[in-house]
Amino acid sequence: MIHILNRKGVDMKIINFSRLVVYLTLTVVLAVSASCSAGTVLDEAWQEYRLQNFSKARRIFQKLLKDASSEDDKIRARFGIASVVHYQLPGRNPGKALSLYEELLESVPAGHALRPALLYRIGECHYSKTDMDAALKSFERVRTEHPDSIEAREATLRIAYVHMAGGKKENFRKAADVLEKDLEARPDHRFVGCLHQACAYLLITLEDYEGARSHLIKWYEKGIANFNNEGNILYMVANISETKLGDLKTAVEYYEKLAKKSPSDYRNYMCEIKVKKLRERIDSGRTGGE
Amino acid sequence: MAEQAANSKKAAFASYIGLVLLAIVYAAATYRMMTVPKGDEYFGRKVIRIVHWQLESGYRGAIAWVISEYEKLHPGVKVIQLGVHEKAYGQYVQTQLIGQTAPDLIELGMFDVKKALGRYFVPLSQHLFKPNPHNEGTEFEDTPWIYTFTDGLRYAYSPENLEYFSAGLSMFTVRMFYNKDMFRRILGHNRAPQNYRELINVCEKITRYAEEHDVAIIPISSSKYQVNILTSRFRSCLTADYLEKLDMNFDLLVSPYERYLGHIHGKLNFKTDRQLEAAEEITKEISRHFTPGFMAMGRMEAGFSFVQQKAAMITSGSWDAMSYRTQAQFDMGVFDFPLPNEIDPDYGSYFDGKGSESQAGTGGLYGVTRFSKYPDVALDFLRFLTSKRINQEFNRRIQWLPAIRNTEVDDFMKPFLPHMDGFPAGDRYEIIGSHTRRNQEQAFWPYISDRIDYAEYAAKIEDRFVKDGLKDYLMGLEAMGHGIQPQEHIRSGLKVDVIFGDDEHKRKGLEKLSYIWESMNALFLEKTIMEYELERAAELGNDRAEALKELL
Repeated sequence: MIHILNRKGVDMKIINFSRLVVYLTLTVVLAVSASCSAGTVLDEAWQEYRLQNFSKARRIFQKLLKDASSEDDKIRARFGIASVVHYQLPGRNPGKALSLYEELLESVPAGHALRPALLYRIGECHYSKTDMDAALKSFERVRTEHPDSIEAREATLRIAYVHMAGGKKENFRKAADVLEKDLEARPDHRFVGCLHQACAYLLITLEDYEGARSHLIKWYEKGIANFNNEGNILYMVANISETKLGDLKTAVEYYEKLAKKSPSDYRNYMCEIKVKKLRERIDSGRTGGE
Repeated sequence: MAEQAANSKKAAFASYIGLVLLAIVYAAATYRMMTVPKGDEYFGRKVIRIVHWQLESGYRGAIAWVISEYEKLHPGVKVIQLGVHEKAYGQYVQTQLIGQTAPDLIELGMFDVKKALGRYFVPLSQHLFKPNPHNEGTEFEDTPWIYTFTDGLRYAYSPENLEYFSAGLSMFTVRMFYNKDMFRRILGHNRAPQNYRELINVCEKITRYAEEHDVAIIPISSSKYQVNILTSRFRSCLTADYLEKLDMNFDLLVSPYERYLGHIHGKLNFKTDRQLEAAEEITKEISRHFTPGFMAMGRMEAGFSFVQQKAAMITSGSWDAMSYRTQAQFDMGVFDFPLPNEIDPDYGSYFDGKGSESQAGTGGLYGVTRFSKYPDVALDFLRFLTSKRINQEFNRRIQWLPAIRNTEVDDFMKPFLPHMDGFPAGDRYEIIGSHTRRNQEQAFWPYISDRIDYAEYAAKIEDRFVKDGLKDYLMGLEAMGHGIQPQEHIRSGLKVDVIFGDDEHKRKGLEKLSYIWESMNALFLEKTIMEYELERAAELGNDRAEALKELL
C-alpha cells in the first residue's frame, strides 16, 4: 500500500487509487454488460427466428439496430432483418431482401465473416426471382472471392441447379461438369458429400452409370450427413452394379453391406434373394451384364 | 322467554357451523396445496411427466410398471403418468404446448403433430444414431438406438424438419381372427386355412352350412376398411416385379412420378396387364364372402358382428386382439393372410412371394418437449421404455407387439409377429395423387360390388390416367417446390451458428448444414429430374406420349 499524506494529513494516493479502481471496474462492467446484452438479444432474436416467430424476431432485430452501440451489432441486426424478409413463411420477399443484402454488403468491411454469406444470398435472391444470369454472376463471385468457404460449395450446387433449370440433356451435362470440376479441385472439402450426391443423380439421368456409381461410393465414403440416405446409397450402388454394369461382385458386396449396416431396412429380404442368385451366377461363370 | 333465548342462541350457533366447516375445509385445502409437491421437484427428486391418451386398463398399468422399474434404478427421479381422454387430448396438449407448461414426454397424435414438432419438441436424431445405454448386456449394446426398432423408425422421421423427434413403443400388424368353435361345428376341425384356395373352400362351406341350417352366419365380417387392407396384401405378392420395372433411380422405391412415367413408357397398362387384373380380381373374389352391404359398414360394426358370432372370421389388427379376446365368448384363433401359392390355378403364375411387414411402422410415438426442465432425464426414460427388456415386458402386459427387434411375445401374440422377409408393400399403381385417386375410387367400388367387370373398370382408369395423372404429377412437383422453402429457412438459421457461433456451435451447425443440404438436394434433384423426364416422356412417340405432349 502507498501512503502519501497531504498537509491536512489525508492519504491522497489511496483516495486517487481507489477512485481509479472504481472507475475502471465500472467501465469494464458497463462494457461487458453492454456487449453481453447485445449478444443475448441477438441470441433471443435468432431463437425466435428459428421457431418461425418472424414478427417477434424482426421486432427484436429492429430494436437492437436502434439501441446497439457497436457497428458490428448493427450489421448483425440488419442481417437478421434481411433474413426475416427473405425467408419468412408466409410472405417471403426475395426482391426486398436483395436490396437489403446489397446495402449491407456495401457497409460490411472486407474480411468480415458475413461477406461470403451475403454474396451467396444475393445470388439466391436473384435465383428466386428467376433472374438466372444475375444469379450465376453472384454465385461465381462467391467462388472467386471466397474459394474455400462453405458458401463457395453451396454456390457450386446452385450453379448446377441454374443449369438444370434449362431442362435439356446438354444442360444436365453442364451441371454435372460444374460439380465434377469443383470436386476435382477440392476433393476433401467437408461439404463434398452434397456435390457427390447431386452428381450421382444427374449421371443416372444421363445414363452414365459408371460415373453415377463412382459418385455414390464417394458420397458414402466421404461421410453421409443424413443417415436416412445410407440404405438408398448402398442399394443403388448394388443395383446399378448388377443391372447396368454387370459387376456382380460389387453388387454382392453392397447388397450385403446394406443388410449389415441397416438391419431394419425394408429391402433386406430383396438383398438376400439377390445375393443368393448372384452368387450362383458368379459360381457358374455367368457374369454378363444387362 | 329464557327458552326462546336459548333457541335463538342455538340457531345462531348452528348458522355458524357452515362457516366454521368452510373455514376448516379451506384451511385443509390450503395446507394440502402447500404441502403437495409440485412443479419439477418432489421431495428433492427430479420430476418428469408423461402424457398419453391410452386409457385402456392394461396400458396405464404397464406404464406404471415401467416407471417403478425406472425409479428403482434412479431414486432421484419421480415420473408422473397423466392419462387424458382422447376426446380432450388434442386440446390439452395444444394448450399446454402454447403455454409452455407441457409435460416432458408427450404421445404424438390427436393434435397437429406436423406443425408442433419443429417448434415444441427436442430433435432426437443425434441420440438415435448412438447406442441405447439401457441395452447394455444385450446384443444391441453397440447398435445405434434407431436400428433396434423393427422398422428403423421409418415413420418417425419428419421430412419437413429433417429430424427425428420421437421413438415408438409398439408395433401393429394385421391378421385374420377366427371362431374356432364355429369352425369345429361347421367344418369338423379348427385348423386355420393355409393358403388362399383353402380359405375360399372354407368360406364356401360356411355359406352352404348357413343356407342348409337357415342360420345368419357369414364367412368373413368386413367393411370398406378391411377391403383396403386385403388389396394391399394381394398386390404385394402378385405385382412385386413392377417395383423393379418402374423404379428409375435404382433405389427400389417407386414414387408416384415413376408410376406415371412408367405408364407413359408403356411399362404399365391397366387394360392388358393380366397381373394387375389378377390383383383386383382376387380382392373381388374374396369380397363375395363378406357381410352383404359391407361397403356401408364401419370397422366397429364389423368387429361387433364377429364377437357376436354372426361371422366366422374377421380381418383386423393386433390393436384389437385384447378387446376381441375379452369380448368373445368362444375359442378364438389368429392366422396370417392365406395367400395364393405357386400352384394356385388362377393366381399362381403371378405369385412372387409374400409381402414384407418391415414397413408396418412403430406406433405409440413419444417426443420430449423443449420446455422440459430435465430433457436429459425425459430422454433417458424414453430410452428405458424402448430398451429390449423393458419394451418386451411392457408390451407383454398390454398384449401388443414390441417395437424392438429380437423381442419375445406370448403365444397368443405370436401369430401377430411381423414378417421381416418378403417384398416391399404393394402400391396402387393407378394412383398418383388426388385426381387419380378420385377416379380410381369412383370405378373401384362399383367393380368390387359386381356392378361393372374388370374390363370396364380398367377402361375407366386408363381413359383418364394420362390427363388426371399429369395434374397430380404437376401438383406434386409444385408441392415439392414449397417443401424446399421451410428447409431453406432452417438452413438460414443454421448458417448463423456457423458464422457467429463459438467453436461448439460452429461444429454442430456445420454438421447440420451438410445434413440439410443433402435433404434439400434430394428434393430439388427429384423435382428437376422429374420435370426433365416428363418432357422426355412426351417425345416417346407412342399414343400416351402424344396425349401427354398435347396436354403439355
